[in-house]
Amino acid sequence: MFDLEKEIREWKKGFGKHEAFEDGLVADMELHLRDAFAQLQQDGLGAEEAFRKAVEQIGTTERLAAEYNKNRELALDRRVPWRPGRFMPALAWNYVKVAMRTIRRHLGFSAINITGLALGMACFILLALWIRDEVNWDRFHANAKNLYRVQSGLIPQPGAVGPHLKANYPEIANSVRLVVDKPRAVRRGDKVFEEKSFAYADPSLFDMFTLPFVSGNRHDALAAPDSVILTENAARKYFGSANPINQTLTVDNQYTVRVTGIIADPPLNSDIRFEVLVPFQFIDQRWKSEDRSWGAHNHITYVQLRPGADSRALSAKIAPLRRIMDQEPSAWLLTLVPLERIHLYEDNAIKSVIIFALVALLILVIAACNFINLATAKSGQRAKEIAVRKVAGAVRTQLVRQFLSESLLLSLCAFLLSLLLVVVVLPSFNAVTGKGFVLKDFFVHGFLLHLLGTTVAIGLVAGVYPAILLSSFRPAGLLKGGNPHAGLKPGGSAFRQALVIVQFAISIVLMVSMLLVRKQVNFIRGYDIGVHKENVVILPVNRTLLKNRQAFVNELTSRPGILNATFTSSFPSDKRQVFGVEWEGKDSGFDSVWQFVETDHRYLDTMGIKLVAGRNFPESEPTEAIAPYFIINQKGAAALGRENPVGMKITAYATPGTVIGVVKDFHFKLLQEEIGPLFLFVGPNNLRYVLVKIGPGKGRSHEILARIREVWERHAPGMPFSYEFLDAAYDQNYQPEQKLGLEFSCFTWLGIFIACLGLFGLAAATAEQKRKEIGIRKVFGATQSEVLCHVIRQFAGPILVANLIAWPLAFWAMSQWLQGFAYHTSLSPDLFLIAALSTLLIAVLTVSFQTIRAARANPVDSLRYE
Amino acid sequence: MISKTLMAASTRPIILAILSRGQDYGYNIIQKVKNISGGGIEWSDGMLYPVLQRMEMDRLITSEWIAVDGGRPRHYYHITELGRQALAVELTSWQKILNAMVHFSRPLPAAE
Repeated sequence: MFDLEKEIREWKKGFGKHEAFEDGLVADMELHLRDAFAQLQQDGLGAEEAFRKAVEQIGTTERLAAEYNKNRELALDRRVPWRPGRFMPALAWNYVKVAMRTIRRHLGFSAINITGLALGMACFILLALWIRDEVNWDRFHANAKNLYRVQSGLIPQPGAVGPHLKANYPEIANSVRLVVDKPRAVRRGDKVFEEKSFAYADPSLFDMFTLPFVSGNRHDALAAPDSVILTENAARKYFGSANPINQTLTVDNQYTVRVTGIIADPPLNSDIRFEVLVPFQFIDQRWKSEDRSWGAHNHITYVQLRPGADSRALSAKIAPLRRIMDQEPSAWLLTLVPLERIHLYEDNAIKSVIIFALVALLILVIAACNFINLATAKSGQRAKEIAVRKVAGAVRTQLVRQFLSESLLLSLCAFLLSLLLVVVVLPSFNAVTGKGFVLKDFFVHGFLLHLLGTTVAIGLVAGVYPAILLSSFRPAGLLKGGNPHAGLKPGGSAFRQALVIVQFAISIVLMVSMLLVRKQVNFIRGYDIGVHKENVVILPVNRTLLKNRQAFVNELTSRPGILNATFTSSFPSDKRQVFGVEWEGKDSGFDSVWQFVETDHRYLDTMGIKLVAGRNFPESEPTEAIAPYFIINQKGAAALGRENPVGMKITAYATPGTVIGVVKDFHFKLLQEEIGPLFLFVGPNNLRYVLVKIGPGKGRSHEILARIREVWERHAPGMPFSYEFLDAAYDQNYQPEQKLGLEFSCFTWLGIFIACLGLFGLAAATAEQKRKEIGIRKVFGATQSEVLCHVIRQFAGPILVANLIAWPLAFWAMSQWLQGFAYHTSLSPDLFLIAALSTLLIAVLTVSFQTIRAARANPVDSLRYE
Repeated sequence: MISKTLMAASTRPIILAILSRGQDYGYNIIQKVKNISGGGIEWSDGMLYPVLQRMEMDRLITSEWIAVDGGRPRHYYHITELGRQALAVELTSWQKILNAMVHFSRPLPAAE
């Protein structure tokens, strides 16, 4: 007898074989079968026949299963009931918990890891601050995009250039001239200050540059000849907390000026900096004569172009202006330099910016390498956790996500720590770099946001490799207690070694660079510039002193310990002063710009400069005229094209005269530049300093200085006595290099320290993993030192390889740097050897600390459980 | 006999069209197709269900079990708004294809 229910049960069993059929789907089929069966019976078929046909119509289970499986595969990418969600809040908390637990359980490791990264990041943050400051130099001016400096061979231009340009070129909306003059004595009541930052400017300065007024009226603050504008800093200096507006100051004991405005202190990263500003119509006549002159080059000139004006076209148009105005052949062409490019490209700050950007990046790479290394080195200890998670159904992407979030957590901790570090070292950093960073600087232009972004990026980059490696472990082997790397490519330790090589290669490059920068700085300081710069005191000249200069010098030299004294326009390494020189037979196309020193006949003796031909200036009483005698240097003689130029007629400083002597070349400019032609002459125009030669050995003795002071006060009453030593002033010029050296040292040692932190952790991990190996070696008779050597050899290899990589890199980079100096030291092999040996030594010491512990352990302890 | 590929391509639009007139269950859908085509469109009955599942995954239709008084509970399918839109797209597509086919099947006009 045909039993429908039994047949259906049998039929349904066929579906059970296939995973694809869920209960609901089978119910659908069953209903369909029953409907079809009923219909077929109605059509007149027998029960058995109807059932067979209905089943046939539905089709074989295999074909149906295949169709359902296709759906299932498609569904794998979507949310379907039997797969875990992309994000499971319960698990997320578990990840955090496990991460915390891991950090706590491996406290030492985590500390090393976080500290290394935090140090790296702190360096990065500081350097980023520094770089941002340099790159944004003078960019805070609202008109910065339209501001240009007018310059030719020299940066200062004749006073006439600015007004001429503004009057004759419609593209130019405005122009301003700025002069930062010699120091002035500024008196308030009975207090006298030497104001070193005493400047003159046109009133348009405040229309063109963003120099906000704290009090006073921007539009007429410089209108009156006796007006003066102070920065907030200067106002505090002169007036304390009193309101300075309409108060008076006395300049050089002669001129009374009235404060008409106070401006906010200009940012440190600006070239437009001064403390005290007066108009060119200042009561002192000095600048009035130069106001429309095409002669002396004293005015730093800026122009503001109208929006949309083509600066290149304009630059080309004004280029020959100097030639026309000077009415003489001149190779000097005027150019417009965009304000935003001045500091970076004209002052060459871009070099340091690139150097420090590289250093920042390299240190970050070292720190990130650490992070990766330590995370993978620990992997063995986490193998079981990974296996259990996998067995419980975790898929690889989940594990990757777990490890990534762990490394993110660590990097965020490091970030917070690094911020703390930065806050702590910021004052010292400011001291070294001469910047004035404050906490507020972190909160502008989304700086912190960028840093946070960098942190997350580091966390992800540093976490990716460990995450992928760890999640690839095979659970079966792991849970049996086997090697976690079973079935993996044996790449893990090679990768770690590669990272160590990278870290140390960077450290070595930094170290070689540091050593070379130091060597160069010492080279400069010890370089014989051809003048006796030791034991020379520099005093500023003022009007009163200028009148009595003969008496002043006579009285000075009569005092014991004071050997000589000379009035001069400049001292070696001082700002350059140049002038054209003409002579008969000069190639007219050849434009010769010579350095000059205006002085008196005592200059050569005071400075210890040797005459190689001819004679010194004749002794004479000071006059108000330029004497028709010139002394030139050997380079100058070469420029004149004469074997012996003594007696030759030349025109220099617009004065015809005779060459009476030739001196040995001495370094007048900085060592970055070659020695050029130079002429000395006796005259009264530009005397700005008195150089006083004092007895050797008693160099900085207070006694002699007191004597100089006494004479000073007699001849220049009311003037502040301020002095400087020539060697110190000279060294001052190499402060950028010295700073570079100091900064380099700091960051290099930090980089090496971070690399060693990593090595320390790695050595610890290796010692841990090799506990049994070391135990067995000792059982078979290895001594402690043999075990030590064995482990150290493993680490020494990569460091030697790192040297091979680092040397050519360092050689190339530092050759580039040295090319910036016309006179420089050499890249000797000892630098490389010192760097190699010290890194190796540091590394061996680091590793030994861990290994000795392992090597001293009793093998019984490590082998007990086998 | 309709080719396999054409059958496969037309199944979903036809189901959408049927459901656009109101909810229905699997067996009835097949019967309707059979009746309207006079047996010309012959679906393998079981294959309808994976297609329905797939359409549900694509959110073109939804389904629910409805108990009818006295009878068996039935798995009813409804068309969704997305399904209606898909149907409209399909209809224009098929119309275009049919138009093209009909157009090119006409005899060429006699040359002048």
